[in-house]
Amino acid sequence: MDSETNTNHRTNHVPDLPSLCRFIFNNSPLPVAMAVGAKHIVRYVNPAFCFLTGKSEYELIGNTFSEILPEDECLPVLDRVYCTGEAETHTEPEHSEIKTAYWSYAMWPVLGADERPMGVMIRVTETAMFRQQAIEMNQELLLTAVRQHELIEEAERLYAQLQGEMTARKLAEEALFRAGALQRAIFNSANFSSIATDANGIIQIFNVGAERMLGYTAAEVMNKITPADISDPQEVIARAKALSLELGIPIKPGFEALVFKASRGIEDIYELTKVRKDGSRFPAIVSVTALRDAQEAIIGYLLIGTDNTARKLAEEALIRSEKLASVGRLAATITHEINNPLSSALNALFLVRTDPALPQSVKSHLTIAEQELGRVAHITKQTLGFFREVGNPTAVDLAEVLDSVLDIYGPRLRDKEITVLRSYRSKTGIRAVDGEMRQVASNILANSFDALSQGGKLHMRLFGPQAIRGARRMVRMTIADDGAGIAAENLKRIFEPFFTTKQSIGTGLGLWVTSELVKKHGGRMRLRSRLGKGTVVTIWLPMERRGQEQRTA
Amino acid sequence: MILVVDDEHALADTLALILERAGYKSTAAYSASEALMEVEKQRPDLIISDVMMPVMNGVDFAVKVSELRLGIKVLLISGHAGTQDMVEAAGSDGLSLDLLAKPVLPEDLLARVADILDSNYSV
Repeated sequence: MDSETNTNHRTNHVPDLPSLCRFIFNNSPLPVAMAVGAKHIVRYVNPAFCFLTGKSEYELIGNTFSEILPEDECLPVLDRVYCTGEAETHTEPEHSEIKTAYWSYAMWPVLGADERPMGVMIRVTETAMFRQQAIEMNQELLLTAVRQHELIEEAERLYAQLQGEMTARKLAEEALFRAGALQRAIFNSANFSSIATDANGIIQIFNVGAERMLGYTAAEVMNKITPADISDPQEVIARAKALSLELGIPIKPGFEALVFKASRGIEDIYELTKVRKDGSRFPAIVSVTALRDAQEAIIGYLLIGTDNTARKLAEEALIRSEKLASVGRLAATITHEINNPLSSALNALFLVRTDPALPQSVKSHLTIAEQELGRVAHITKQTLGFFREVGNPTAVDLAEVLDSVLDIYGPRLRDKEITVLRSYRSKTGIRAVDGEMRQVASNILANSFDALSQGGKLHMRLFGPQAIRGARRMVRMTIADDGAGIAAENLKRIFEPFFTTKQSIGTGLGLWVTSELVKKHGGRMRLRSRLGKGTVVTIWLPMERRGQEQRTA
Repeated sequence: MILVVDDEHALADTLALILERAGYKSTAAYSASEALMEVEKQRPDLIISDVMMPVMNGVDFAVKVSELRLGIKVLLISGHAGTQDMVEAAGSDGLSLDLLAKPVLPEDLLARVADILDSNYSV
């Protein structure tokens, strides 16, 4: 039995969701979907999932997951869970696209009677939603803390003033009880670090959340250290300096710097890097409240902290994507403005060069001018980004593309004495715009030649069609060199427009354009590199371009 | 006869001159409406038109030309990334248009012009 038949056989026997499960999922606020078979055909979606994707149940069910979320990073995870039968979670890293929300997934297999996976349950959470929840909880907690003080104060006032009166006493006791219940709820929360100190800053209470966040047990810190001891010392010093300047009072770099504003009754929420027991660090948002007795004297401080890592990452991603968007807009505008005068200049030069009366002596100068303007034209075309010249996609032979592009680089190959290895194991054509595939190959090979040193090796490979992510069969092309490689810190930025390590000779557009072209053809691109070892670029391109008809069918 | 349409006078003029030098008879027009008058008068075999022009853009102009049913071929040239979508929209209405990205090198343009004039397709 071949694997395809086997898969169908397994898929046919996926039972319907039991009604209790269905009831629970239908009422769940978390988006859940079930996909069956190797092609991940959606069998069930709950209302939250419909809401998340903005599609109705009828539009989703019966389609493959890759049709619903094309290009999504969850698809390889989905394949793995289906193949291995082991549950996995996946959090999308920041997106290169302009997208403010990103998702995380929990996936677990649906096992058949033979204990083999027949399908996968997928739960999606929007990371941005968690951020929002965290912010809301933080605000709620702050309100609660304020309210708690009010309640305590109210109870104490009532208790003192109306001690003789039974009804009043009862009220006061009730208020105190309510305050105590709130206090317990807050201190038992594992999501917030709540640290209470005495007036000198020595930690008196260190809740579960603080233990989890900071890695210390309560016993290790209580009555021993102050919150300043688990904060970044440089930041504490900086904060003391800033406060001294702001308030005109010398403030010691230590615990005082963390609570001074709160001690003066000023509401104080700030960012501070905390240091865990193991020495690792994380950004925290800290809110400070002074605890006072009945005579308004400060008896201690309450510091409530939340881990700000996720928000920081999201902010960075947002800033990055905004930067990219503005660069793109700028590039498009400038290019447009340059193109017309550039075209006229190129035309005029052509007219002069082809004038039969032109003296031979100026011809070489003209050729230089034309070549240089040709370079400008090349850059504006790249900047304009994969401008799609009409010409329908045709059958393209990647081996022929690679070989003919390599021919162009012939002189550079010989100069550098580069050994070229070819292993083309596939004759399968892809459907693509020929010129754009040449640009892809040319951009990647140009990078390889820049990276290769004298006598280096270049290896070009083609592999036959494989089913990637279920339905789509892809041809794989790899171009590997044993050149200089790319430093780890540059790797994550190489697909950004205008990012270059080649200073004056690079436009910083090659890989960006290449990846956009590959994306446009429904393919995928991956680049792996190690400094001093070399670089491997892998590109998957679909055999057939998916047509409009298939998607609506 | 080839009619060149571009609101950039220098571009339209130089293109027309290049075509003349290559042996084609050619005229320049600086707007779609002016070009439509030339179409009536001269019945060109091919129109090379910019896309982003004031008043009437190149795609709408091509639609107008196709409605005349004179068997004229149209090649659009654009320096703006957004025009691709306009051309595709026209394509979905049954009008398939050739499009080149600015800046077009004169040699490339002449090669494309020869191809188009050899083909049977017209708007």
